[in-house]
Amino acid sequence: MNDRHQVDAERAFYWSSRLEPRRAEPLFARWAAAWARDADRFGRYVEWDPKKPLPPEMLQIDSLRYRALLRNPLVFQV
Amino acid sequence: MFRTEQHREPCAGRRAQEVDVAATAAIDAGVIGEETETLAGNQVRRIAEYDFHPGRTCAPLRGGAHARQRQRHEDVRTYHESKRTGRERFSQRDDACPRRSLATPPARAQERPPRRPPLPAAADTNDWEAYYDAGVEL
Repeated sequence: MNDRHQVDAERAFYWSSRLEPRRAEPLFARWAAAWARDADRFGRYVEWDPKKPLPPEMLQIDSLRYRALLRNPLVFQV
Repeated sequence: MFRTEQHREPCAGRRAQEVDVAATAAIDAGVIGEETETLAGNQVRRIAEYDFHPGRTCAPLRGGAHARQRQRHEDVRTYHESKRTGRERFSQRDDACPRRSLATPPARAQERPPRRPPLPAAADTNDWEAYYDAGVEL
């Protein structure tokens, strides 16, 4: 999957979660697609010092997984 | 306990006897369910005035009216602070944690939503599964 397809996939998941905000799967898929779009950003996120606040873009992506788990703690995560 | 009235005990039914159980005082049924920390009468009156008086900010205040209004604000603030539930306190504490905050940053909140990706001709554009399946296939 190249960058263009990753952006399209993220947009598709965005609209999926917007049309059905109660489902956890689109939010989790958005989380995965957003990190997959930029591997360097994901590396910085993994190595981020937890004592420092996250940048806004990382914070927004990070909250997607949290929101998905709030809706369904057993959401398929593979 | 269950016995007849003996001599020199004219009111045996009203006296607690000295046995190995704690004496139970009579409780009025109307008391059950009341709050343990009730407000003083003047505080209740001030809160009622604050919440239900419609024109408190319209008329100009004179003399001690400023002090009375300040006292009302103070009473209402302390009253609502004391009535906050544990869930509200938890949610405030949760907002302070940056990794778990659900708050969207203001700069991102102002962004326009992305354009809808194209779907197959037969797909319903108002169905979330159609977009989800499209995203999975990409």
